[in-house]
Amino acid sequence: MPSRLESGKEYLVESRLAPLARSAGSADVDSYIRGLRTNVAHHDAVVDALTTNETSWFRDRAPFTALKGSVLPDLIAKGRRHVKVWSAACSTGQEAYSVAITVADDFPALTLSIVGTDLSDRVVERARAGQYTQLEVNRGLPAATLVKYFQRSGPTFEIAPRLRQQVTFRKHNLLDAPPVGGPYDVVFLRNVLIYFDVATKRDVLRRVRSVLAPGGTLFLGAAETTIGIDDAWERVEAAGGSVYRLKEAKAA
Amino acid sequence: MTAVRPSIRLEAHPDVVLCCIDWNMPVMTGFEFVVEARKRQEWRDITLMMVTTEGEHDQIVRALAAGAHEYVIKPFTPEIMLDKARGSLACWTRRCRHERRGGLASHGGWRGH
Ligand SMILES: C[S@@+](CC[C@H](N)C(=O)[O-])C[C@H]1O[C@@H](n2cnc3c(N)ncnc32)[C@H](O)[C@@H]1O
Repeated sequence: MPSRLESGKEYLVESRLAPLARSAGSADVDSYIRGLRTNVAHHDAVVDALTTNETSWFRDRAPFTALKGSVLPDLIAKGRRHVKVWSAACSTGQEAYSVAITVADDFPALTLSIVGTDLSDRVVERARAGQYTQLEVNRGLPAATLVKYFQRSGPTFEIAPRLRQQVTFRKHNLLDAPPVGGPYDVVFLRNVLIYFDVATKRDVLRRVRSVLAPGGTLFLGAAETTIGIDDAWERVEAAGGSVYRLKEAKAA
Repeated sequence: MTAVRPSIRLEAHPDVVLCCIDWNMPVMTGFEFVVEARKRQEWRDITLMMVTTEGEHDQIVRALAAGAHEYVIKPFTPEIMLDKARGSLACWTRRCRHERRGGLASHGGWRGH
């Protein structure tokens, strides 16, 4: 299995895999899962069935307020002209592009490289394409931003090439070694830890530590925290949002 | 909703803070409504949100330039409407606070969440 699930989520696995098991002609979910060990062709379908790709533009707003009001100004004050960002478990890319939009709008002198990663091939493809449906652009994207950074082509809205050029999307499992290209000044790891058990959360947070630049900033989802999981982190208030930093980095 | 000259209905409802406007309406188009409404000093604080199937780039630009605060392309979900309304009313709230220093209470304000 690609992810280790929190206990109590078994019913989810059962209900989401049942249709796949049926269409593969397996007697039940258990025998379907046993078959998976040998049938690699089904792996991507299983990943898609098990993961929720729910996301939106400027999701929860507060992280982007903190980015704009505190995190990026601090980096600039330290003399930084280039910032590296990792959008981990990025789903269809709205989070990564929201960072690119924030920088283009408010810090045009800053250059940016963003790596967006996700376990699912399907969402990585979509993120790369940078094309969104009407329903998707309605979610969280102010109309003024839509007309500024998107081009309509038929039924879809396509992100401006100059923003897309700043983002590289790659398939990556959070249970593996972090993606190359670090260290990252800012890491977004939102709404994915909730799916893991505590030991896995701790592992993932350790790996993030290893690619975080000194003084770097971690954003977690609104329902997530490092507290009681990995004590190397501390929670800091930043322009109305909460961010996480490594404790020893404080003196730096 | 029947479209009427904006002067008629809005005056009877001083508590209106948000107008959802379709582009295609009889009597006058939603775009004309926005243009008309923006001329009125007394409606300056009303948030104007286009909610329409018209999703061409030029139309969105025109509506925003004429003074619409937000633009929702149909189809939408209740969640999308709430999110857009919250977003533009939050801007409105900030504007009010900024321009009139605490004159919010008289409007009742907007309580999201
Ligand atoms: C709910 S979405 C969150 C998207 C985005 N971060 C946000 O907050 O809007 C969760 C994403 O985590 C991805 N995911 C789940 N397990 C993963 C793993 N082990 N490694 C990488 N990504 C994973 C899923 O494919 C899905 O796209």
